[in-house]
Amino acid sequence: MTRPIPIPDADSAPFWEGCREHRLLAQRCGECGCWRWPPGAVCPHCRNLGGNWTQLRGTGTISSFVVVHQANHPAFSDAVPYTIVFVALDEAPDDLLLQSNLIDCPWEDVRVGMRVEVGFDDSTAGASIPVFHRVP
Amino acid sequence: MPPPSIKDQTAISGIGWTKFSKASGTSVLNLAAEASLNAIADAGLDVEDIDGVLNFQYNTTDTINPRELYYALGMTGCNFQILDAHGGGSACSLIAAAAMAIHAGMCKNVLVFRALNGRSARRSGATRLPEGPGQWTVPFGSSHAAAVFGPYYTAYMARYGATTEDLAHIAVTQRAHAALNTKAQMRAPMSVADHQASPWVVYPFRLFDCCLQSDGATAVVVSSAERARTLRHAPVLISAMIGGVYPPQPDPAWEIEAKRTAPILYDRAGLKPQDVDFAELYDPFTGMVPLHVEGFGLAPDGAATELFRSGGAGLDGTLPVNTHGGLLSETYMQGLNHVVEAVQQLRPGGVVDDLCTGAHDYDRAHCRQVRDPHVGLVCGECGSSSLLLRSA
Repeated sequence: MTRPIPIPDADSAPFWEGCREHRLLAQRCGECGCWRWPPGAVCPHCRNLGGNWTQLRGTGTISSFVVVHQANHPAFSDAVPYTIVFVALDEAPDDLLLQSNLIDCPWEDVRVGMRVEVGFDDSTAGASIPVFHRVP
Repeated sequence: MPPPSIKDQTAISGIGWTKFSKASGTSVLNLAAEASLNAIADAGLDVEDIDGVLNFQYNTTDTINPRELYYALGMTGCNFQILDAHGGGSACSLIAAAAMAIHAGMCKNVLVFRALNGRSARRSGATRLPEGPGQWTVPFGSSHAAAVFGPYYTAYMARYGATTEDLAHIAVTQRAHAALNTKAQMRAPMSVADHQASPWVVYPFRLFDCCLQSDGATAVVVSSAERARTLRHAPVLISAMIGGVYPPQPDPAWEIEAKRTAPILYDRAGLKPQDVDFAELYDPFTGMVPLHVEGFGLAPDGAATELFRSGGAGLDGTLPVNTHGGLLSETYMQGLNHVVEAVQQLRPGGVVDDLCTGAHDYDRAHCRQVRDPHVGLVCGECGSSSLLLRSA
């Protein structure tokens, strides 16, 4: 079964377009400079409308994680167990917490605090999905 | 700050429920009607006395609109209605809304209910699409509530050195309470070994860490304290209430709203955490219970798991928690069942649905009643909404 691909909206389209180009982007407020996640129309710090899309280095730290052993979406049934990580990105770990997958790491070895960097999974037609690898 | 004028001026006057099951074999409207009529009769009121109708769901439609119940029961005057969509954050919020409507003079007696065929019809998480908030989760294989709340406990383990075995003691404690609750869906004994042998669903949660999915309905009637004193049962007073929100995205610090709301709640009631005699805490997964215990100041940070391990959360412990079995072992009425249990514990006659045949004697072979409680805490998802209730 084909994996579900994200359906972008007006706020998120630049993020998913960036992934297609293998660039990880996030919005930054044009007024106060705060980073914003998820993408949205308003800065939650200074309430300025709009924001600037900026490329991230794609490195960060695992803030927390879960490991799916029973997938309730059939497209993921043959992938279990797989790890869902919450990555605090280096540019703004208190604001940019990206939910993604950690690949190439046995689930028993995953730890909070582990350093990771982004890659892009192009295996499903129609979208590039940002995933994370352990930094050696 | 002086306490708000509403403190202790409203009360829960009636409680009702249906059978809780995996397959009700009937409509959500019928379930809502049965639980509501039971609650109205429990209060000693007539349907004509109800002039507000509030209920809730979580995001997608799994329930009915208040007006459907209104016309089905032939009610004769509604001055206030809400269909809320905040799931586990709604039960305490709607009790608060009912209390405010009464205190403001808009309504005399308000019905709050939760009704769903949550197991046999629409199951939680089954229809999530990769759009809107789902675009950040579904493409990564995250469409289970355990993937929303699991990381809070993973972070808790990393912070305090807690383990997934600590969760076993929570599941076992709540199951022991459910065993003494004739309306609970899961009453068979559970041991720590049983918990540890149950399969992983989404680490850090095994099967026995996950709440039930249920068919059924629960209902509550809120009245003024003055009116409630003339009704069938001694009133259970609403001393303080919070009806806030929990975040749509994970909190980067893995903190929950209770840390912010609890001091406000206690201040409004003029009470302290030490005054709480028992707590009915939202438990979609075992791992959220320690965060709620600590969020409301009922144990020092990092110490809630020891409360369960030592028996302190049992019926004779220092802080009995989820005395009905909770969402884990009683039923998944999204927290309105927690309100019902708190009311039962605080009434002079105590709980009516344990295994006691006469007066409560606190023999834990059959008695679920906590000894002489005066103050009960109820909280919703992440502690964003909560109530302090007390006996009159």
